[in-house]
Amino acid sequence: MNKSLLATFVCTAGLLCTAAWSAPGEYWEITSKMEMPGMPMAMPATTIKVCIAKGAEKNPPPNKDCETTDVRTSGSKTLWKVRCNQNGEIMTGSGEMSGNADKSEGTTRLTGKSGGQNIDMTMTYQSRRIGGACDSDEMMNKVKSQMCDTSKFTSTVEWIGSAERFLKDQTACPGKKEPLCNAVRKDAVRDGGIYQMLVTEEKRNGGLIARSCGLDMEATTRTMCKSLTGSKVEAMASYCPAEAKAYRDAARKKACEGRSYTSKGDLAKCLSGTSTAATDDEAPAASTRSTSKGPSKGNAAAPDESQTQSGQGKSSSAAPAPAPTPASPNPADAVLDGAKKLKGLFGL
Amino acid sequence: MRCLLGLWLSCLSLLALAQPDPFPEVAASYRVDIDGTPVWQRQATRQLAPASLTKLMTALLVAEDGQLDAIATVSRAAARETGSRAGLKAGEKFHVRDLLAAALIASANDACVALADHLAGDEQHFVQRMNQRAMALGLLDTHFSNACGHDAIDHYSSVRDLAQLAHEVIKHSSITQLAIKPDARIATLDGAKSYDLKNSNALIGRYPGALGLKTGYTPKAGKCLVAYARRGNTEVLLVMLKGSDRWWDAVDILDLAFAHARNAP
Repeated sequence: MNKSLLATFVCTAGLLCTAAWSAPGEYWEITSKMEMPGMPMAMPATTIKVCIAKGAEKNPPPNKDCETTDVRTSGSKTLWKVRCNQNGEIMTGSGEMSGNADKSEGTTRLTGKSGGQNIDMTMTYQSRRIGGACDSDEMMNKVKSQMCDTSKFTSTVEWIGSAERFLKDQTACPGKKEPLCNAVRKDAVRDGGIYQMLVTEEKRNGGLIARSCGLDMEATTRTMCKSLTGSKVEAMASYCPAEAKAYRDAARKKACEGRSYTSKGDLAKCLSGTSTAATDDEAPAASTRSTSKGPSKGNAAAPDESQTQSGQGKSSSAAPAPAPTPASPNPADAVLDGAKKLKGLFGL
Repeated sequence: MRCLLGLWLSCLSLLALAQPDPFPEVAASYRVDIDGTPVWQRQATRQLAPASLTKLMTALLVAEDGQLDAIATVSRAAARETGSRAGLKAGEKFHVRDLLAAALIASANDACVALADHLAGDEQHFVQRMNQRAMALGLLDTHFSNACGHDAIDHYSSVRDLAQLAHEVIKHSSITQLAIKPDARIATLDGAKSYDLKNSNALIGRYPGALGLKTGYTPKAGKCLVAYARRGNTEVLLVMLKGSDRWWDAVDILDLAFAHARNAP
């Protein structure tokens, strides 16, 4: 997912910025294709119509996160090196393009890290001049207004997804910070899904939303955790350990109390998850060992861990260890596993 | 110098306070480390009876001595040990690594004292070495008065110190290889007698990723545990003193710690 997002970003940003070069320009049709080893399926080629300033088609496409250096032109071919820095993750590569006044083609290769993953991608494109006068500034403004348009936003998810665009350079889309912050403040404390997306996005962008909105993430987490009910607690266990623990305890208690036992001891066994009513290392009697030698022990009770017995020849007896339910990595499963295990333990 | 020490201790206390306590009811005192960093804790510097978690220090000294193939003889004092014991007889000879296995896996007090006798001549001198090592490790809330964890007024530690001790202990493969065994069998040097050991740590062999490390119980100390587990690249250490529902709580807390490591803000 990161890969495709990144690819889309690099591709789109490059092409859109090309359109912004300067007015006046001409319409071009650009077909681009992205290839990344390891992607489950090949990305289809995309074709767009853009306005490119006259003469700019011979230059490498600019990108706000990328710095182009070492640009060399030889005949109809232009070569360059590129270094992109997106939130501290560096990608480096090179590009080349060649063409004439009516068409061009080129390739950009980038390797590095994105979203914590190693990325190796190649973008190829072909372009042809369609003609027709256009104003690249005007087109850029149109694109910009589309990028800043939030009229169709129906969820805080969309606000969070656009946060970088709205908050990083607030002059790009003025007036978006407050509605974004309000939406996040309102929903992150009451909707686990929104909260999760916020946390994920904040990890990626270095805490941009909390910083920009003056959001106390710890308080947000606390409030969100308190708002959770039922199985939603388990789903949010990684953020709400206290609530998840209480939920598990309650689930176990419910599972145990829902059975009929012949004695209170059996219920205690069930609740403690042990095969014996007391733990295996039941308290020993006060130590009777001599205190005449060595360190002070007085009437200290002896540390008693299990009833491992001495062997006579080939003895092999040992007290059964307590049997906690093996937990699965998914806490929700753990509770279910627990109930199953308890059934097994007591033959229910 | 005192000012500096005071300042340092204050900083440590503040740091201790800084960790959240999401599980106030699981134990009188507990601490959870993820990849060596404390994330949750309760009364981390409170001095409490550590019961058989004491044997982590005993095991550390044995491992650091490195003479695991040496031969140790069970003394009368060791054979008279009470509480959890393997049932070793005075005069029996074992390899040190087998006594270590009995002390760690089955928390056997007779094996523990036999190790102390072997390394320092008697338990008293061994305890001196334990306290010296504790001091060298900076375990400020710890004092030992015996090698195995018997309750005594001057025998105490804190979850902070025990976590630090555990981190030191798990550097030694001679210990971790034993702590992970659900059971083991040791034999006297002449092979005349063998002893089966069952791991007192109920997480071993049951909890996915559990690697150890030590259990403890005395009436004063209550249920104690140092649980150590690894999943993928994440390591979780749980130290619990005077726990209420040790095994279920350990399972829950380890699960939640691994989940926290994956997704937490």
